[in-house]
Amino acid sequence: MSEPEVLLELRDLQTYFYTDIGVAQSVDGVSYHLRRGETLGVVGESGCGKSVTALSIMGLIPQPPGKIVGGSILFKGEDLTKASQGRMRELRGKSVSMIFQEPMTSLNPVYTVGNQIIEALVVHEPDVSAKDARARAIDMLNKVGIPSAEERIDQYPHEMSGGMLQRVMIAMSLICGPELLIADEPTTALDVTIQAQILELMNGLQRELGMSVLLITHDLGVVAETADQVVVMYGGRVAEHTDVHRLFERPAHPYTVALFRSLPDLSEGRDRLPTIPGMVPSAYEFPTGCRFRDRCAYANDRCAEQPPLVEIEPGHRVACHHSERLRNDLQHRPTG
Amino acid sequence: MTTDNKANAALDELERESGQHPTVGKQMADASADDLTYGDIVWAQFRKNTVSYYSLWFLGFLFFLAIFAPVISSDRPFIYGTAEGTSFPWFTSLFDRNFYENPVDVFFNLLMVAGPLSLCGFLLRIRNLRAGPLAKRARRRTMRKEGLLIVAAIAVSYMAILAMPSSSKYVIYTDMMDKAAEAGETVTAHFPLSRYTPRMTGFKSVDKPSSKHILGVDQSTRDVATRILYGTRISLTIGVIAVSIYVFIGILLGATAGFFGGRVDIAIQRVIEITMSVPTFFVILTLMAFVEQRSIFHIMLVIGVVRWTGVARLVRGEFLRLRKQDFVTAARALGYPSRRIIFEHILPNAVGPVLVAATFGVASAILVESTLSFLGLGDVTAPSWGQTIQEGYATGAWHLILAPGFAIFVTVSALNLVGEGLRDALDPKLRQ
Repeated sequence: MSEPEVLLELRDLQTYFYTDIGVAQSVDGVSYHLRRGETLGVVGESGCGKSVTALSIMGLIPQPPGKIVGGSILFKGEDLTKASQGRMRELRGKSVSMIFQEPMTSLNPVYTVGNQIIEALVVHEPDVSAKDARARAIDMLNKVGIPSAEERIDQYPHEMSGGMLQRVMIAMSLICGPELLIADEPTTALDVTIQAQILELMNGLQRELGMSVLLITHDLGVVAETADQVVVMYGGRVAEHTDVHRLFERPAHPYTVALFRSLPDLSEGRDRLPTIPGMVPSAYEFPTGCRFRDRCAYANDRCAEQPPLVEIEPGHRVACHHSERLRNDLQHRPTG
Repeated sequence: MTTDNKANAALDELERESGQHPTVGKQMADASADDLTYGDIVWAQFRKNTVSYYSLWFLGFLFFLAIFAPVISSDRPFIYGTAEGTSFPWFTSLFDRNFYENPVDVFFNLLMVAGPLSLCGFLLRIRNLRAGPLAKRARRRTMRKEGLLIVAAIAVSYMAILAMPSSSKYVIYTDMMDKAAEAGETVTAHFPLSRYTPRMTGFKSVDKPSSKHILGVDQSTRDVATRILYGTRISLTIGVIAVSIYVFIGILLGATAGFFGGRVDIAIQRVIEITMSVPTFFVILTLMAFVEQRSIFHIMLVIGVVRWTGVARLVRGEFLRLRKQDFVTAARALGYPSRRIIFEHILPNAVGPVLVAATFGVASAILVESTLSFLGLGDVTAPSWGQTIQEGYATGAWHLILAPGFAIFVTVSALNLVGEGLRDALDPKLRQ
């Protein structure tokens, strides 16, 4: 079985923010790739650069103060960092779409949801007749599981619940049949039961439409449920990149292990959840070398030198000097 | 008047809808109660403010007076019948540029003729639509579309009338009647309530109010009541058009500054500050002094190009707030061009404060026009409230100051009260 083609590839992407208090190296040398039809989960704490990476792909970094200073974003072989504004506008919504964390504020309050979905369609396909556009919008609303879509289509965002609005957002971003959907914490603002529904919906639609999904989240549970591949990010860099089974079974980066340890485990009656000591360093003053070393139990003098992202086994890349030692330890003491 | 009626119709519709299904299940009732547009909510809130609500009615009444001024006061008889035949001089005079020299008057005359007709048609159409199968929102869409069509038709016919040449002779019908009576002819003539026009001269200068001239006669021997009546047309027009001009400029500059930020913002901000640092009224005075043949259009234009700064700042602030909102990022992520995002996504969210500012702006534009006329820098060919006050000031006649002063006071107050009510209605914090 041949591997499907690579749809999106980031090569050493660097996005910096130049502000009055200094330069924030929000994304500093991120490389990963996403194949057609695959779901790539990007996990990490707040401020680790996962959203900035997504915005860089969309070309939506506020400029100034933000700037892509290095690296390339290859979408179907085309470098998006060099694409013109007009070309990016063409791609956005048509080939690459994005859904956001807050469905309640991501829709324009003055238009009906139907008008907003139709607008997304008409901007990219100006030849569609009004009747067809409406029919397709209703069809899409049915697809994302909105009951009585014919009536709901004429409602305003304030008349709908958060879960419904996220469904509308998904309908809006999928109406033009994009090849890549970037979902920036799509379920964070929703109830747990709704979260599961939305994830299930996204999985179903992905299979149906054959698109790739870049799922940004800080919830390892969401990753376990939906992703094929996982990128763990820390401090604007990729810490670990592998498929979801291997990540959960044999993690090779101390940060990944620490993340798993901080998940509540109902089988063990612990009083306190272990936390990762220290704070996420500010993007303005990352430590030199490995950026996790101030909080890492394995850190030693070697960590003053930045560890390269190396492939320790096929399809498993890790940026840590101590991954061998860590794995040996884990074999004797299973992760929590 | 039209907006009033539309809003009323919308409310009636609302009441009818909510009252229509008392028996259907609770879910249905909830759905129809939820089916409120933003306009419905604001209108219901506005109605709670009694003073503002009646001020709006009063403004409607003022517009009514302005539109139907010729019915109340004109020296042309509705019907003029002699042995030679019957004519309708009042009607033919309506679109006669020799009789109504001011294009504003022609516009209001057109509204008088076309307005009630199209309004009746429109209301009938709404009734039909309501009986039809369309859902509320689809119905509203059709109504809006057809309403715009009517407005467009009126605008086109106005242009046509202005382009039409007129070559009628100025006839004084009362004199003709007297002559005919002397000659022993029988003449049937039906005149409007008062037989004066705002430009008719020849009465006793500075005459006190009497049964013949209920508000007296001004220094230039014209009937004050008629001038105040026709002055309503001028004042309202100046207010609305001057404000439209500066709201347009303000939105354009404010939106550009707020949306793009950075250097564009800094540049526009400096332009705003420089314009604001000059006292606007003196700029208006100076500019008006340069104009040789002053017309009310110069007044509108001058107010418009000088007073836009407030709106520009307001719009800039709203844009700064809104451009960071998620729905704007979402719109970009869908690949919409900037122009579309500015005018179709952010601007509709920013119109509330602009609408309030515009209402207050109309009041202040009316005051500016009166002041200019009072200082003798107004349009001498148009009947203006300030001009009458100026004649009162020059002659010391109290009735020349009191009546137009009262007209200005009432109009400006009503506009300000409506503006205040609108501000409160648009404020979600004050909503219950």
